Amino acid sequence: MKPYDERVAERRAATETRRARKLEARTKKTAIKAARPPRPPRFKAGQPRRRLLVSLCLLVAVLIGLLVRVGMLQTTQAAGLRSAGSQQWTRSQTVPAQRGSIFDRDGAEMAMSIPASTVSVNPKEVGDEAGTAELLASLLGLDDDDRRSLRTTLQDKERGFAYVARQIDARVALQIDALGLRGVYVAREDRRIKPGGTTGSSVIGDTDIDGKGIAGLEMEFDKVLTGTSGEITRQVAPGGRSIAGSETVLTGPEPGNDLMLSIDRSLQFTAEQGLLGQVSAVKARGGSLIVMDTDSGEILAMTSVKRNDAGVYEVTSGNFAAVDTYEPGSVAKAITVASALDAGVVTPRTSFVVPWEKQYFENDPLLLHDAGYHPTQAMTVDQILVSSSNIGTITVSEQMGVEKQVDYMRAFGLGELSALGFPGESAGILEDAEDMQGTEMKTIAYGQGVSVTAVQLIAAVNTIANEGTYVAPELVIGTLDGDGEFHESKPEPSRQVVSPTAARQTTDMLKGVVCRGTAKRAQVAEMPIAGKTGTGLKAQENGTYYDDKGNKAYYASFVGFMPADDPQVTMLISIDEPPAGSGDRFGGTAAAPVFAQLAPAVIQELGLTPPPGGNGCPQE
Amino acid sequence: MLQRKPDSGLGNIRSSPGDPSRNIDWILLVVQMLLTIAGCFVVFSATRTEPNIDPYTYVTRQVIFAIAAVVLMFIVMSIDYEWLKERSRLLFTLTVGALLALLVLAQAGVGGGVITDIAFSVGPINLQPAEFAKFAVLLVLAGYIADEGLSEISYPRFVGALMIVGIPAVLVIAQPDLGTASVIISSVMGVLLVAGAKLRYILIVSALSLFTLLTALASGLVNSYQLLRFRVLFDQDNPELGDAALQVRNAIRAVGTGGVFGKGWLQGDLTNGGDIPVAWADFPFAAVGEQFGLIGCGVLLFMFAVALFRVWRIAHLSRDLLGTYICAGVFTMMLWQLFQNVGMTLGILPVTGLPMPFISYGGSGLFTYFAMMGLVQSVHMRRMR
Repeated sequence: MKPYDERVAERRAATETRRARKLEARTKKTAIKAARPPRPPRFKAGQPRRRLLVSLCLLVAVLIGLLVRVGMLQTTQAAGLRSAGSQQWTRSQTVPAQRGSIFDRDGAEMAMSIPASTVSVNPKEVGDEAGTAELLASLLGLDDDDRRSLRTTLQDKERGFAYVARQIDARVALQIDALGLRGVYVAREDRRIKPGGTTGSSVIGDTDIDGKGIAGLEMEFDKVLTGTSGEITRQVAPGGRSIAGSETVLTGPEPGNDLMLSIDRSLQFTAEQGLLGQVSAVKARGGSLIVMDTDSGEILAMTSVKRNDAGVYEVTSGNFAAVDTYEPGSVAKAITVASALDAGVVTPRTSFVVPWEKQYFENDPLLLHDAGYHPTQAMTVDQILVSSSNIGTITVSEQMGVEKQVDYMRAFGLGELSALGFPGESAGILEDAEDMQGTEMKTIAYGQGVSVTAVQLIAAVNTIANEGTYVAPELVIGTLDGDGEFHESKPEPSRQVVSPTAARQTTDMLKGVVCRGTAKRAQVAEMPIAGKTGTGLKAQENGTYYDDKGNKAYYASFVGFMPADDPQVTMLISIDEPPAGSGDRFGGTAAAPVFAQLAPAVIQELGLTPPPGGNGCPQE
Repeated sequence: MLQRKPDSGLGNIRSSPGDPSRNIDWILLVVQMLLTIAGCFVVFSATRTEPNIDPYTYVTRQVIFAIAAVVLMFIVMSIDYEWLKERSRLLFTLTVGALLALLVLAQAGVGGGVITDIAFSVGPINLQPAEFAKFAVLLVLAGYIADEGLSEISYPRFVGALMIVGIPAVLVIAQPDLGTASVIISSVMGVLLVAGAKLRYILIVSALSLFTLLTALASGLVNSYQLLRFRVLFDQDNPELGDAALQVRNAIRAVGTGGVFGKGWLQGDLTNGGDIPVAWADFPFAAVGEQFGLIGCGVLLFMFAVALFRVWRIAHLSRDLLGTYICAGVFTMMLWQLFQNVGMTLGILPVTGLPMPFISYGGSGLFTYFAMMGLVQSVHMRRMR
């Protein structure tokens, strides 16, 4: 073994060597490090780095700002964006409400609106005029002229709107809509139809193409039928095009109320056909017919027919039964007699000496006379009415005086508007007694010098049938609102005009008129009828009863009711200007037969039971 | 992340690690391509329902533009930006000459269909000198300031820089194209900021820009339509402003009604229905917002953020100040244009008609930005030298 010192020395030497090696390695490392090229500074200038950081912050800020704004728009403000602040860009558009229907008393439709579509164009938006015109024309079945004019319309770039076809079948419109032609628009627009054709058209009237009532009940009750139109707003893009999906309904349309008429559609139809037949058979100018429920004044049928320019008779869309006035003639005698009976100045048996003609004023040479010659004879009131004596009726009227005569006539509803309130309805003319001149004061007793509408006249005669109580004529018995609830019309007040006794006595006489008098042709087997004919002279334009050629024009009418002893229904038939020279010019010949002709249908329709004892007329 | 290590070169026998072609910033390139492709979809969705044209008309053109722009970008990439800078004065002179000629000819009314207010159009080609101006001004200015090589701009340099920017900017404003002028000025601001301009220099540029703008407004040089657009910004609900305000309102509504997830591809009634006039060029962001909602907007902005960040990073990595300044200019220009376009869609800024980079329809916008990206890539590719 080596001595201790030696070992220590070895160890020291080894340590030294290790240290030296380490040192050497360290120096080497440093040298290597020192030998490396220095790292290039990242930037040659000190400033840009800081500035670049600023720009990075700017980037982050801007992008975050934008994203926050987008987020706000899409979340918290989204709802507001859809609705608020959009008024400036909206155009509001009314949505027409569905127009109410018109029903008859049994709920049968007489006029109704059915869905249809209207095609319109915005020529400004149409790109391919020729192609668009061709497509539309072939789908709509337009002829060559319409096709050309459609193309001209489409080329007119000044226009922003034009109708192509209105209220066409919704299926065709759907096809057009499906094509998606640019600038072509399809919108819903209801079409008004009358399921019964012309049935009731005199009463119902008409709407224009925009669905607004322009005549008849459609006009009178336009507000009721129209309802409340709704409103939608839509956003509009440049050029007026609406933005899809931007429609906002402000108020929904409230459909119009339905009208329920007192008219009986089938009776109306029968009445129209009957009147048409008679008017064309006698070759008159026109005519009117009213069927009224005696107790209530409800009008069951009401029509007017006229010869049009082409010479064809047709049901008018104007309600001349309420609009036209004429001098009723002898029908008014029933009113005069009932009034005199009520006033107590005569009884049915009161007898007067009646000449066939008479001069009433010394300074007026005009002779008033009866329809035909008869010797001066004693006549009871009953005979006067049955034979329709003019002079006799004047005598009866003279018993109460002209003032009373006029007062009674007013009470019977003459000279004032009826409760119908029909558009264009006439009040007729009934002057006050002190304003009357000359023979008017006398002739008014037999219905000349007073002009009335058919509605006024039937209401007056109906008063006699209704035991002296005047009930206002009524066409609309109620309305049906949107919930289907029925609202009855407010009843018009009725009034006692003559006593029931006077009315009954007059009715008895009117039975005689049908049985023995001028209205024999109104007789119906099994059913007693009371009524009065009238052959009024029409006032001409020159103010006399003669036109410039010296011809007279007549207005032949008959008002009757049945069953005579317990009247349920009153009917008026008037024939306007039956040929003056023919035997058909009289109320008894032109108008009364229509009553007889229609009576069976009325009896059946209303379910009237004829009283025992036939028609009550003594068999001749 | 900020300092990408150069390729070691080990195992690569084809080229040296410093070779420019091996140093393309692929992330930037891919993001930029994704944005461009997204742009084509946006253009399609917004133009599909335009009347009387094939639904693919616009998008087809956009794709062709994009392909041409890619070619242009690769050309610019392959050129050393140093080399370009040396020739930038020529480019600048040509651009100013073209702007001047356009202005004079347009004023003189020698149009003939070839010369419009903003472009020479020869056949299908539409040469807009203002677009060249963006490129030329940036290059010249960056070179001019980099030549000084100081960390702070000296006063004489600053005055010189003002001249370089002022002349084309005024000519562009006179066209009148305030939008493009603002883009040029924004890139200048970026360069000045990074180049270490004193705060008061920046303020001077701002004041001058404002002054020019007000002069333009006062002298009636700016037409009434542009004035209207300014009024829209402050008075959106005024019905008198008509369609100008409508455009903005509908754009806001389109974005706002998109919700978080959007209405879905081609399901936006406003943008897909053509209710925002020229949405494909002016309001692509509205189309994105309506169809893809907050998510879509977020993704789009994120992609822009990535692209901008890469540009910013290249500014950092640049081997010289020239590269840094170029990237800084591109960065602020792109950021400003993005902000301006999105801002006008959201009703924050007036409608100037500045397209959204990469997304909006239009050839000149794509060419300009692809050329800019080419410059940036060129800086990145040559940072190792």
